[in-house]
Amino acid sequence: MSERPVTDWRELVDQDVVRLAALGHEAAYRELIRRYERPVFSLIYRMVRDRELAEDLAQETFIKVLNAIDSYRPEYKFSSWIFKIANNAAIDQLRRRSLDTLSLDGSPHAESAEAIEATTLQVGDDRESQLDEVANRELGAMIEEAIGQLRPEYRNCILLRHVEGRPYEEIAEILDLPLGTVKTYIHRARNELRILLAAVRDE
Amino acid sequence: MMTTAAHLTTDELDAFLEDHPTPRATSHLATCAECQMMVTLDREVVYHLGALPEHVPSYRFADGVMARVTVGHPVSAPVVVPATPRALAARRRVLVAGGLTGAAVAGAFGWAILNPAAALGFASPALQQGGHALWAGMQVGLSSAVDQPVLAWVTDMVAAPMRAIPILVGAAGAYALALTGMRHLLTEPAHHARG
Ligand SMILES: [Zn+2]
Repeated sequence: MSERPVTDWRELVDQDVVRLAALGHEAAYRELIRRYERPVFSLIYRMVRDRELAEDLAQETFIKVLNAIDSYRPEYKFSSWIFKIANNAAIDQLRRRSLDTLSLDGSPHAESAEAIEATTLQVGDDRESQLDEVANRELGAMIEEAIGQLRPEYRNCILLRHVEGRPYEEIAEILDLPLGTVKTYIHRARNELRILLAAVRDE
Repeated sequence: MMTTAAHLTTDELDAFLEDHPTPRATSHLATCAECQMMVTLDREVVYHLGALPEHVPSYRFADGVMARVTVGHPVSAPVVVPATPRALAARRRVLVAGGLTGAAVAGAFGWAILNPAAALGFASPALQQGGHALWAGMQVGLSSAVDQPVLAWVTDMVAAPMRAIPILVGAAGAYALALTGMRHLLTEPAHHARG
């Protein structure tokens, strides 16, 4: 097959870049970092909400992925792979830190309305004070903050779906969750944000 | 307004977000203020989520990663990828044009070597006069510079222009080779579409 030198990395799909990285081209490694450093860092940062920690975890993510580039399977999307590693790093960190998993929406595993209600934390007063506190902020900043208040299981789902624009199927693959569960988490997360938005509007 | 139809399901709300609602959802929405509010707020939430800025890691990020990554199976060959049909066609055009030009130049030189008298007589008298004047100028200019034993061959060449023809042919050949070599270093036009 006829071949030519790479002059513009942007014309290559991820699979091609990964193949070149696996052949030992350092420039291909750097291209993968260039493509994914912002989305990976953003996802982790929004999960752990600590810039320095997020940078460490994002670096660990890339190091893990790039050092295992030989084991990449092309039938699997590269983005799914790297987001999966990034998400696992963030979730592990949250578990280690036992960071606040304040849920505004009950247990993520609750299936019935009663179960959701029974497991929902009573944070009405807190939420009102939070709303007072953020009343004068930009709506985007408020939503960013609200995302941080979501249960981690909801947070990564809604970030992947509506911030990174990943389809449900890919999110299920990234998070190793059934498709139905992913949809449920996203709906609950969106429900929380919707309630927050409505409350702000009513003020 | 009251409606007896069930409120929108989460899947139907999703369908509204993706702009392909079912007919039932559309007709229900037309009569249900509660669901209209849900859809409006959902769209707003999704809009704001999509508009959140990307967070940027520090400028040292990539170097920090690369310092701890082992680049496997180093190869010395240049990075190559399969050529697109468009790039192949562009390359063919350049090679054909270059080949024809090179052949024409080489042919002309070859013919001039074999038929020096005809070649010299081929030019018009005006061109010949101009050529003589230029040649005389070069002789004057170069004579002082080349008036040394070590440059005797240059002196001979200036004195007898026909002896220079093989050297000119060699130079033309080297030039054509250099052009061909440069062609491999030239970059293709960039294609920005990502597959
Ligand atoms: Zn309704």
